Amino acid sequence: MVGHRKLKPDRSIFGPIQPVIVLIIFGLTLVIWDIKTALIVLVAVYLAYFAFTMYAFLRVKNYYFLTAGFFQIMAAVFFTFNKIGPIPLSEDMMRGIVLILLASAVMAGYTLITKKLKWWGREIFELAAQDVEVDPESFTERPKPSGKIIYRREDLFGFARFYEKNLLGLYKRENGTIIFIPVKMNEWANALYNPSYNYKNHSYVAISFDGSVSTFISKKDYLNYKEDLAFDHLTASLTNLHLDFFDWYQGGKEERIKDSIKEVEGNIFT
Amino acid sequence: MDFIEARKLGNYLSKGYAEQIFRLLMTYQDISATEAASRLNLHVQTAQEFLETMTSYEILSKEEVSESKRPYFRYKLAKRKISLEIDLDKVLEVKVNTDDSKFVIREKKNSGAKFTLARNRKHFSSVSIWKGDGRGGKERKINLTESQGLFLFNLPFPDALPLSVDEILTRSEVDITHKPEILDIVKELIELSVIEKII
Repeated sequence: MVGHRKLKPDRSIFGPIQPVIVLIIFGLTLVIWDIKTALIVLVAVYLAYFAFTMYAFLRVKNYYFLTAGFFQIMAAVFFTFNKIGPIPLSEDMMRGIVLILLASAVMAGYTLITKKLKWWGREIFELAAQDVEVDPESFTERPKPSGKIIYRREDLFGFARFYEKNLLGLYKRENGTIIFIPVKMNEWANALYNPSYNYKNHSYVAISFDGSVSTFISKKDYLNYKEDLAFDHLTASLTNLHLDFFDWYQGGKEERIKDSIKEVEGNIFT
Repeated sequence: MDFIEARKLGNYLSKGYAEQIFRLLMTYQDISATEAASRLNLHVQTAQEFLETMTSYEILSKEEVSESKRPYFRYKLAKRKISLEIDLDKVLEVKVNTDDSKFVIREKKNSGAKFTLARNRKHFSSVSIWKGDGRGGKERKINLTESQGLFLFNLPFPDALPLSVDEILTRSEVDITHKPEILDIVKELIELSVIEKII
């Protein structure tokens, strides 16, 4: 059972604000031009969302991105071919399109409600901090070496793919090391789409091919805790959490990873 | 000869007139400070000081003479080769005192030091310390040897249990032969308030 929460409340509005942005864009173009132009802009926005969603799917191979992408492309189709849209189609055709759109909306809604596209970085940090006491001024911007582990390399690659696919975070392979970067809901877009995103400024757990493990917690992530936690203990805890996940993955107990993370779920929007 | 002596001799040998005085000494059987000064258009005191210093290093020899006036010194070459030799083994004997390892250390709280990881991510390549506040602040960057970087990579965090140098050496798998350079950087970082020493 999870104790009291150590992280500051998540006030991220990145998720709910997206439909609002679409509505604002649509409203503005409608006011400035006409309904047809507004629908064309709306189609462009949905196609852009679709492109971003497909990129995310290709990167992390989480198939639930396809449901979101399916809804986005169907929305673009609907706004293109309805009777006031840029290319009107017959009523029968539109009925079919609406039916598919509704089906895609149900699938996307299911994905949203069941949090299939939620990034779990915040929960990872919450879990890592559960048993950590307060110790002011213990932070240091230095990675902590945590000894060596023995594993099969293909297991590490498999775990890295699992880590991304289940949206625990992203991984990066560099100089004989796999670097696991937990990604929170409020920073997934930056992590995924920003070409200048530098993982070195973010918290990570690095596992080398020779088995050595080191962990770094960024100042930003550390200050996201309500109190100054004992940094050495916190870093060790984040390491152990990842090593437990890796152990469970190797033992075919992936469900345990998901279960432990879901114990500390955040707010409904994230 | 130690570094202080070498610095003094080197300082005199680097004077612009040094070569000319030695040329005179090679040409003349012996020479007084007054004669050398007048010949080279130097102040007598300058020539006197130079000749006395060379005498103290036994490069010149001097003889007191008096010719119906006050006694004075005449200088002549005692050797025709000048060498500046420092035995580093003797002068800079590296003492790995066992007492140096009796304390325990860890990173100091709020040290403000910035450690830069090497490409292989297994050791630090440098440590930067910011001295002073605001615009007047200056960055002091120390490039580390691989063993120093490995050692500091394994330095306990500010809230961790402090460890002795030997324990950190073992943990970081640094060969004991590197201990002198490790102690050197530890001493420097203690002075720079990056490492906390607990006795």
